[in-house]
Amino acid sequence: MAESAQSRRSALWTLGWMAAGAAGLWRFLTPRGIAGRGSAARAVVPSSAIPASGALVLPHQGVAIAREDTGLVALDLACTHLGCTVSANANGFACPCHGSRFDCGGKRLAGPAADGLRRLAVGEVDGIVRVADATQHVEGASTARARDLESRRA
Amino acid sequence: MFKELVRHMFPRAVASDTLAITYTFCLGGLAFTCLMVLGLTGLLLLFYYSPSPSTAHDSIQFLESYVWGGAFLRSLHRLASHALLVLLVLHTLRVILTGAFQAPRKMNWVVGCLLLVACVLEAYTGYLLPMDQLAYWATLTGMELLRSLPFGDAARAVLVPDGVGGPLSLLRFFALHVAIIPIALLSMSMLHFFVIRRQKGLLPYL
Repeated sequence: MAESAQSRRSALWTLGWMAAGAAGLWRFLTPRGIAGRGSAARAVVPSSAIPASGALVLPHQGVAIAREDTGLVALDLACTHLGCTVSANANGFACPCHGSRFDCGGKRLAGPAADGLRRLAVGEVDGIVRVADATQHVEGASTARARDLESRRA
Repeated sequence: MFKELVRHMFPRAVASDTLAITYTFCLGGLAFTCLMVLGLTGLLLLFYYSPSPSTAHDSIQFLESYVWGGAFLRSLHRLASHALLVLLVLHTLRVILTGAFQAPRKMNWVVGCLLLVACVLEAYTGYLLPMDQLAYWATLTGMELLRSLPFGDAARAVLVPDGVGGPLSLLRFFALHVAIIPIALLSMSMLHFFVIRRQKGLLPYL
């Protein structure tokens, strides 16, 4: 490229207009106030709905709530592989899309998922259980706790 | 004037070695035939499809159950879409194996690759539209795959602002499927053919 038909100034203007256009298009395509986004709770259920053994599975909200020794645990039912909703069975959870399996505590048993099911923040106030929408990764403290629970069961 | 225009579209000179079917196996021509079938059947499907999550599946059920030729049209649209992708992959393989991506055909190789990407996107956006179980879960996993790419989360926010299966997301897939990608596909196809013609290649139909 020896000679350019375009001057540096006009090229910069073109780039500027393109950036402004892209920014405007981005604002246009990502509207605020979409229903369901940023809602405080994923699920709200009475405490009595959660069985003493086993779990309350809410497939539409994508959450399973169980009572463990250490308190309430809420598992995000979105498979950590590609996001399909896992289905509950006697041994834990299985993903219908690609066959990942998880135990009752959400720990990974078989792939292709690389991680266990995510845990959601859950709280109980005056007999009402609320599951937050924000995800809490299983790694770190929660994995250690899951392992702890596992060893206590064994 | 019309006659002149038609005559203008036919080549003045054709390289004789391009006349043998084994030269290209007409894979690109067959792919474009599929694209035309898809365009025609798609235009007819537009008369019955309703791009809203609550009515989309019912509109297709209605098309298949009560409309004369509806089930046939929809099957043809789906079958042609599968055939298009298979033919495009074969066409790409042929171009690679015969070395046709080299100069002076570099530009058409790039345009062809863009066409392949556009066709995959067209197929993917069409996959959600029936809003059945297969459509929903396939699109959901596809959108999760997208997140692993650079700027994947931004692309996801634009494509499915209210999540897979939401009204805005379905409408966006619909707009991409019936307007934006088809326009890009057609214009790039015309460019693809123009370059072939300029290089004295043989085009199907013309």
